[in-house]
Amino acid sequence: MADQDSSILDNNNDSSDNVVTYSSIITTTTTNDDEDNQARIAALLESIASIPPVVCIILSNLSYRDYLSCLRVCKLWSAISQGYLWRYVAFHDTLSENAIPTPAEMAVIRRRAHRIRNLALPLANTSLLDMPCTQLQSLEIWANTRVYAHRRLHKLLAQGSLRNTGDLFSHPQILYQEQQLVPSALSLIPKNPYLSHIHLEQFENLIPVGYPSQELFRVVNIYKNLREIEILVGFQEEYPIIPTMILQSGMSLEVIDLGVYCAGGLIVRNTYISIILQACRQLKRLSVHNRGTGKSCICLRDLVETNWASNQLESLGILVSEASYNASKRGQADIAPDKTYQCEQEDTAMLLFQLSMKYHAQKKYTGPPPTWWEVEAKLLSYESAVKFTDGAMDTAAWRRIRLET
Amino acid sequence: MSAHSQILLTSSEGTEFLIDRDIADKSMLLKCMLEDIGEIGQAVPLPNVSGPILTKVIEYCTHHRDDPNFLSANDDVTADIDEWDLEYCKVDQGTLYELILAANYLDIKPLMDLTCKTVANMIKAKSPEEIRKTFNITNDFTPEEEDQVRRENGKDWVDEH
Repeated sequence: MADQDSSILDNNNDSSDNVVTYSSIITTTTTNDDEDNQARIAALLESIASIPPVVCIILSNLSYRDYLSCLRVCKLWSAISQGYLWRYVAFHDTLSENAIPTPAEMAVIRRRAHRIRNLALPLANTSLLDMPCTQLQSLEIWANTRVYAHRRLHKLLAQGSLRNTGDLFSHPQILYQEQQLVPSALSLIPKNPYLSHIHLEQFENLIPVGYPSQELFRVVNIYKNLREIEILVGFQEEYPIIPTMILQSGMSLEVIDLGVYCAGGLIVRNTYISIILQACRQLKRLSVHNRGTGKSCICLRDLVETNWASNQLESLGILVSEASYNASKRGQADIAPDKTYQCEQEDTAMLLFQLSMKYHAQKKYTGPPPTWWEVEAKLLSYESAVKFTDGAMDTAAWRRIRLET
Repeated sequence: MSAHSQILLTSSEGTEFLIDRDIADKSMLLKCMLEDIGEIGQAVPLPNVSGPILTKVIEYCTHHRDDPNFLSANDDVTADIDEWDLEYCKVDQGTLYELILAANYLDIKPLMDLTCKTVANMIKAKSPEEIRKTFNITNDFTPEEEDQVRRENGKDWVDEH
């Protein structure tokens, strides 16, 4: 019995995904039937603990607090519980000074690195870089430039290389110099073959101005197993690395969550939407979240004329502008204004119908219809759409792209 | 395939159970087997399942035989267990564990979810000592080891999810 105990414990230590030969254990336990009932129950409990799917279901019904209790029950339960506790490890900026791991605690984390599945850490945190995080599935990285700049400022002042803080405002880049050179948490990406979810917060700060974006490019280029990507990016300037990343991983990306920050109440043409739709063959969900006072949208014609690579789209959360293209064209038009208006309406109706067909081609689409940028009154009405498409647009087709009928 | 066809199962002690095909189909193991090799007219031996446990399993499958949401019934971990299922799980610990093993072997996911959820409820919101008492577990930690385990694993960076 003692031998069996230790072998079960070993199984759980190695990996919870190991296929355990539990059929032999079951046979053993059923022969225990005639023995003391307590021993039988204990043996049954051990059999259960050795079947990963069963343990997984039981633990998924428990909370973090319960894991902490299980941790102290006995060695077997402790080993199982640790496997779950260490799935999520996060080094948040909010950690207080004394909560930053000491070298001894880093050694503890290091020993459990293979258990970590979800890791969240700032870009400049390199403490986990050489750890065998072989099970990593999800990685969240953010630029802690504020914290970093603060530390660097103190260092520079201590060295006497800054005469006054005014120097900083004229040359802010000196604060970030070191950060550009050190290896960063981004280097964890190519080291982890199971990684399928990357969350990059404050993208523009991850690549400071002048930073060789090839670094991130290199990282992503090696890496082709990405399934999900979450990026928050400012729209003040274009980030060529985004399309590059999307194109490189286009074969595997399924979920893209693009946060776009637009300031100053501006309407920006979101060039990423077409690139994503064209490149990602496995795409299931794309959502663009507009933050800030401005909006980013794709114009109707771009959306329709883009060849959508995926036919498995389930949801597309984007903002579409019906009028932006026509407005830009109207300026150059030589035709009489009323004629132009009619042409535009016919054009728009046909585009809307084609768009509806594109949505229809997505067999599993359950998501929302596009959100339209123009105020309701300015949008082409259903009646006009029917008229200008010679009746091809019907209610069903209309409902796919517009909420109202 | 006739809608009323029946399947003969043999438990570990050799007891025979005649059940309707649609009941047998609740077990993915039996369903796949019957689809692959067809109904051979012979008893299907289940050496890992005892007679009393097989009776319980058949009781569960029979109660849920017309349940349209059978396969997704217990997916929601936060949802409460329904009254019949709750009553069904009021068995001694040995039987509960044997049901889990049988559900795992026969591949009946809803039964596995239900029984595992019942075990989870026995653990929920309890102190380590209460858990040991419930499951009759001997604490094999020395006080120092227990303290070390608590210190090493309860830190701020082990994130609450």
